Amino acid sequence: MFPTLVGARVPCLTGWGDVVSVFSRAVNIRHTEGLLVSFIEETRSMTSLSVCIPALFRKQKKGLVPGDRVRFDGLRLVTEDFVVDFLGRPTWQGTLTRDDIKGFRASKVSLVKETLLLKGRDGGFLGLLRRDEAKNLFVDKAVKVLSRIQGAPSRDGGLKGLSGLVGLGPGSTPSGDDFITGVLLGEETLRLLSSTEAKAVAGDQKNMVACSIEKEDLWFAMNRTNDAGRTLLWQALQGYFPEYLIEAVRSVSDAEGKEEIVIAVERAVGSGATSGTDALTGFLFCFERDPPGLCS
Amino acid sequence: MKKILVRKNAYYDSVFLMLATKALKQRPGIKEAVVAMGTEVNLGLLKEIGLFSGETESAKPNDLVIAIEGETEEAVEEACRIAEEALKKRSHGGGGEKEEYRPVSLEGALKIIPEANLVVISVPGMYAAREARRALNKGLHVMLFSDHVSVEEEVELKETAVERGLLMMGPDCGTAILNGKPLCFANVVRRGPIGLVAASGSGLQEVSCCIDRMGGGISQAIGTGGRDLQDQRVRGRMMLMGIEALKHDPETRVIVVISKPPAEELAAKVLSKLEDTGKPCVVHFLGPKALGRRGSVRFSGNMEEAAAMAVALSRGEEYHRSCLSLSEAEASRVAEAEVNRMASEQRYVRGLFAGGTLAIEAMVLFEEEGFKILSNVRKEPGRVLKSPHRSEGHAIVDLGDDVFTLGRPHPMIDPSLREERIAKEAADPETALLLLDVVLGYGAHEDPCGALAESVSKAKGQVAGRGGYLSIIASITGTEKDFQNMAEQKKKLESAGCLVMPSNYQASVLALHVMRKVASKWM
Repeated sequence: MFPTLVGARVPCLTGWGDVVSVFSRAVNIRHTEGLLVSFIEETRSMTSLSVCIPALFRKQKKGLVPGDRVRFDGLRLVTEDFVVDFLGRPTWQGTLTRDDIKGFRASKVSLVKETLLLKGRDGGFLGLLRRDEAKNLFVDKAVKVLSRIQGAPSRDGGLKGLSGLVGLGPGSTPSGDDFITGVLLGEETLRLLSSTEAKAVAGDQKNMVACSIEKEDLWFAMNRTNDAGRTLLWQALQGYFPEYLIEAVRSVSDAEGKEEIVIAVERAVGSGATSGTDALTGFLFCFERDPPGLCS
Repeated sequence: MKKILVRKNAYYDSVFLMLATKALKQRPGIKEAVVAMGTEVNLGLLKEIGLFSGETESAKPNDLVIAIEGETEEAVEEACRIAEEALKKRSHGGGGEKEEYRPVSLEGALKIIPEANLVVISVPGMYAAREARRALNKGLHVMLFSDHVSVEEEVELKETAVERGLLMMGPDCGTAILNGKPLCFANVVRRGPIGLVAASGSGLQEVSCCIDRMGGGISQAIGTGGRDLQDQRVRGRMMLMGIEALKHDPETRVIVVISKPPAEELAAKVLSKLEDTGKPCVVHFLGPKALGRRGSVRFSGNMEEAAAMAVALSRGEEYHRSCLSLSEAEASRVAEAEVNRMASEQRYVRGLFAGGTLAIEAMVLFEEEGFKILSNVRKEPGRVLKSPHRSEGHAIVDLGDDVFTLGRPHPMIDPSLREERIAKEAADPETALLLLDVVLGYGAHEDPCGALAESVSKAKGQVAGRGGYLSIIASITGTEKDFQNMAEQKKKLESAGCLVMPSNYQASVLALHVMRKVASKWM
């Protein structure tokens, strides 16, 4: 079988994997390193660890069931019934480029926040933005973690504190992991903007560039979450983000009016149960002059 | 009483987990329910709030933890049983059952049911026209549930359908009953001699349910999509084709048409077409009333009246005006009692509707009585709510509008949107009356009144707490045979303090009585 797109990190994996879940539009395989590689039907669901292979989902009967073994050899993915050939197939990078953020402006950040408040899905970390949300114990915990960041003397200390959110929250990908991914996406956006633009967007120079020590702390914390969360963080820490988030940043950047920003946010919010909402909340966290203002 | 369940190596999708959490939290007697992965930090948190047991000690990040705290052992046990059942049904991982095959293309579906002659399409708007085109090209009738299809595409699809003698219901068509088969959002109604064509989903449901309540029955109910008669470019193609189909349907003896008022030229075409059928017809164009009769076509003043007229005609009887369950004097007495308990600052009606046509019916009635209503369904300057999320003055809101449903289910499916809005309205000291609709039937929430009852009680308590009284009037669109159990649903709303009327029209009339009295206090 020939995929239409191969995530950039998939050919780096070798060894064995087990099929752990089969949904109507995705099949998840757990690699021995504890990362989930996904066969997906739609390119919108791409990550750097996904293989878009619509043909698999058009078959009358699916070829994979939970428990099946799969072999990765860098060039191919081999199952009992078929082989998925990566060689020569288009690669999906999953990284943010300068082109993606060339129209990113401070004024757009506030529109993203305004829209997220209206359109975001409750249940995850949206309560960090919404002051009137009903009691949510995960949000309460996140508020405590983020308050420690407020009190932290430096940005270094702050991002160390952020690892306290790893694995926190509801969802098959815990909300905390989505939130951190959003933070890292925000950091990446700021990194790619020129320093003047970044300053205008973030408002505060010290909020801008993440350094390796902070990420090291998150690398260590990754084992505290489940496979789905670990897979997401593993990619985000290396600068790879899900397509829906890259598309959201690109669309906000390209937006010429409020309506386009609203559409971009709505599309991102439609991902997962609260994943899109949680990631955008984390993204906004990067741009707040006073991060705990999120919840004050 | 607490109980913790741990499912090893569980891989579920997030949407399912979120819905499961919500369903557990809403169960009677349940104080707290947490459904989360067994990560270190989640387990720590559960320990902090006392939802921890020996079982959780062994939980790993890939395990699903369900922690439930309830008032009684029975409540917790029942919640656990329901959670287990839901997880079992949904099981995909760790050696669980394989998901039942669900085709992901039209071709796949046709392989399974090659004899199918109708396809229901519900895909994102950008793909909807393409799928509908493919279905029509295969000679299939189409019910296009999706919206966000351009008018140009709608015209092209309907032209193709007419050429091929196929139905092309939609886009944005949510209700139909064909040969006794309810499609998408529809109610279980008696079969009979009345055929409907409607450019309104909730309108079609309301009329078909009223017909059922009055002892009549439905032969066919054809939806056209809201733009069919509204947009000159679509030229009522499906309305005209639907009427033509009912003309030739031997089971149909009376035809009912429901729509917002069409352009004059289109209205004339529809009326000519109806006359041409040679069958008695009833027309209800929402908005300024065109009562009376033109040949075999009768005009009704509201949706309930359209149903009553059709039932009478189907029995060969003359329709006698008034189907109100409360006389003027009784309605006035009820209204008086409601208003007497209100605080002086309470002055506005707030209509929170799940059905767009039901919202319009209420709005038209109030406007005819001189009330200035602001709404998200209006386009005229000065009549549009500044923000659909916040009421001001007298307001009637269609919560099924796109602005509310992008990224979350329609309020007929998920009542939480309306629950939030009820709380907001109750917090406004100027709110005097809430007017609600509840729609039962296939596709709708399994216990909509049960879900609403709690927020209604809270809202009433909140207003009472500051010395006022919140009047709440509702109607239920449904039949005794709908799976939600109409009688039970009604009882739930009444127990929460709602006045429940048999139709949207009657609920609106009673609300009008109340608001007239409120207005007279302010004069």
